[in-house]
Amino acid sequence: MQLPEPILKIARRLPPKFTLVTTVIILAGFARVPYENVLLKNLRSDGFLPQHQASSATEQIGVQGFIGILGGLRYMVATFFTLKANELWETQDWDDLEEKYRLVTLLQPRDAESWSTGAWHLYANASAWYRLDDRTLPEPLREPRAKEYERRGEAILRQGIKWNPHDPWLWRDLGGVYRERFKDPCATAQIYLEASKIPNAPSFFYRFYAYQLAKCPGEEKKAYVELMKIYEHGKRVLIEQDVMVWRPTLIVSIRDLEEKLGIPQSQRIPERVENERMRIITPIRS
Amino acid sequence: MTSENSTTSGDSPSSILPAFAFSPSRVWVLAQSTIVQLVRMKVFYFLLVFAALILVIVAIGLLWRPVDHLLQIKRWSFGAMYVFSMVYSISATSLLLPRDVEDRTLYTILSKPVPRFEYLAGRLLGVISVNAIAMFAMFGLMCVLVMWKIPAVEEQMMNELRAAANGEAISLEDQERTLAAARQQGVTLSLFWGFWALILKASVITVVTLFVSTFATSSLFTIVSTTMIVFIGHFHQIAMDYWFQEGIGLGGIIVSNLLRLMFPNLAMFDVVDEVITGSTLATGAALQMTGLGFFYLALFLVLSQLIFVDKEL
Repeated sequence: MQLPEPILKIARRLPPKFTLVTTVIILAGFARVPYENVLLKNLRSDGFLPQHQASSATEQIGVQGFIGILGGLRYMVATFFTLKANELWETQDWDDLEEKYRLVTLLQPRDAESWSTGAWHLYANASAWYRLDDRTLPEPLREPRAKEYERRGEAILRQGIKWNPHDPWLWRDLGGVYRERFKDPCATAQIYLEASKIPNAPSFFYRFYAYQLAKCPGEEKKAYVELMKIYEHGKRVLIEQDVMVWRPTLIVSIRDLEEKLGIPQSQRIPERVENERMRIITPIRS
Repeated sequence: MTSENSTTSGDSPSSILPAFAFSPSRVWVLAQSTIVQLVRMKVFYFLLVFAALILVIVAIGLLWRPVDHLLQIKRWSFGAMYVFSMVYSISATSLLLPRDVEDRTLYTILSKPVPRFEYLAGRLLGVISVNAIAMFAMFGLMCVLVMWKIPAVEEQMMNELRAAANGEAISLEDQERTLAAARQQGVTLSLFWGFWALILKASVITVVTLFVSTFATSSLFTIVSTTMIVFIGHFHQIAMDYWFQEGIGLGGIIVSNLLRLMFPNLAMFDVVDEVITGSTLATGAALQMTGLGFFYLALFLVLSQLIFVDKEL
C-alpha cells in the first residue's frame, strides 16, 4: 500500500533522525501499552488509581487544582480542599462545604474517612444547625431543611460505600443515620446485617442487627431466634471462659420478645436485669 | 599500518571505539563526577527545608487526632519528596549538557576513549543517584515520625472501637484486627513501594529530560518542554477514563491513542495516594511497575543516544 503523495512529501522533508526517533517511540508504545493495561488492571483491582467519574465536579476543581492533579499531586489538592471545608464549617456555609467534600471524594474516592467526615458534616452538623441554631429561617422551614441535609449526608455515605464496599465503618455510619435520624429500625437492621457480613467487620455489628430487628414490627420471631443465638453463644463463653459478654440490651430485648411472642415460662431465659445498677443477674441452676 | 592510517585520518577517539563498547566502571566514574558536581550545587540544602516543613507539621498536628496527624505527616512528606524530585530531576538534568559544553568538560571527556552512550548513561546515573540519596534521607525521617506516631494511633483506634461497640463486649479477634489495622498505617512494605514509585517516576522524568536536552537549543526549552511532557504524561490516563465514560468519536480515539503511544504514562506510578491511607500494594504489581520504569529508562536512554551519537558539539 502506497502512502498518499502529500504525506510522502512531508516525510521526505523531515530529518531522517526525527523519523527514526518517532518510529522507535511509536513501536515502543505498541509494545508498552498492553503491558500497561495489565498493570492498570492489577492496580485497579487492588483499589489503586481510581477511575475518575465523568462529572461536572471535575470542572469545578479549578485551574490550580487541575494543574496539581496533572502534576501528580492529587492528595495535596485534596488536603487543600479539606482545609477549605473546615473553614466553611466554622462559618456554617453548608452548601459550599458539601461542594468541597464532593471534590475531596472525587480526588481520593478510596479514602473512606473523607466520605464519612463529609457525610457527618451534613447529617449531623448541618441538620442540627438548621434545627436548633439558625434563627434566620422561619420556624416551619427549619425541620424540612434539617431533614434535607440528613438525606444529603445519607447520599454521600451511599456513594462512599459504592467506592469502598469493604469498609464496615461506612456501613456503621449509614446504620447510625437510619437509627438516630430516620428512626427506621427495619432498615437499620438490614444495614447492620450487611455490615456484619463484611470480612474484618467487628462481631458486635451482628448484635446491633439483632437489637434493631427486635424493634422492627413484624420481625419479632426472627429477632427472637437471632437474639437467642447470641444469648447461647454468650452463655458458652461465660461457662468456658468465665467472661460476661452480654449487656443489658440483649436480656431486655429477649425478655420483651418473650412477652410479645408468649414464650412458655419454662423456655424463658433466667437472667434479669437489675435496673438500678444496670447489672445482669444470672441465677445459678443446679 | 592500517590502524595508524585510520587515526591520522581525522577520526575522533570516541568514533574509533567499537559501537558496542560499554564499560560499567567508566559509567560509574562519570556518575561519581556528576554526583560531586550536583553536590557542589547545594542540592542537599533542600533536606533542611524538608526537615523544617516536617517540624512545622509535627508541631501543628499535636492537637489533632493521632490518625489525622499521621495522615498529614505522610501526605506532606510525600508531597515534599515529590515536588523536590520533580523540580530537581528536570532542572538538574536540563543544566547538565549545556553546562558541560559551557565549561568545556564535555570536550575533555569525549576526547578520551569514552563512547557517547557511556557519557549519557554516566550523567543519568549520577542525577538519579543524588535524587535517590536525598529521597532516602527524607523517607527515613518520615519513617521515624510515622513509627513515633503509631502507638498513639493504636490507642485512638482502640478507643474508637470501644466507643463504636457502645458497651458491647469486644472479642479478642476484633481487638487484634483493630491493632493490625492501626499498624497497617505505619511503616509497611506498601509504604516503601509508594516511595519506590516516586523514585521510579523521578527517574523516568530525568531520562525524558536528558532525551529532550540532547536536541534542545537551551536549558529553558528543555525545562518547559519536559514540564509539558510531565503534565501530558499524567493527563492522558485521566483523559482516557473520561472519554471512555462519555463516549468519543473516531477523532478522539485517534488522539487519545496517539497520546498513549507517544508519551510516557506517568499516572502508572501514582500509587502514593492510596498507600498513604493504608492500602496494600501487592508485590507483584510493584514489580510490574518497576519493570515499566526500567523500560522507560532503557527506551529514552537509547533515544537520547540516537540523537546524541553524531550531534555536532
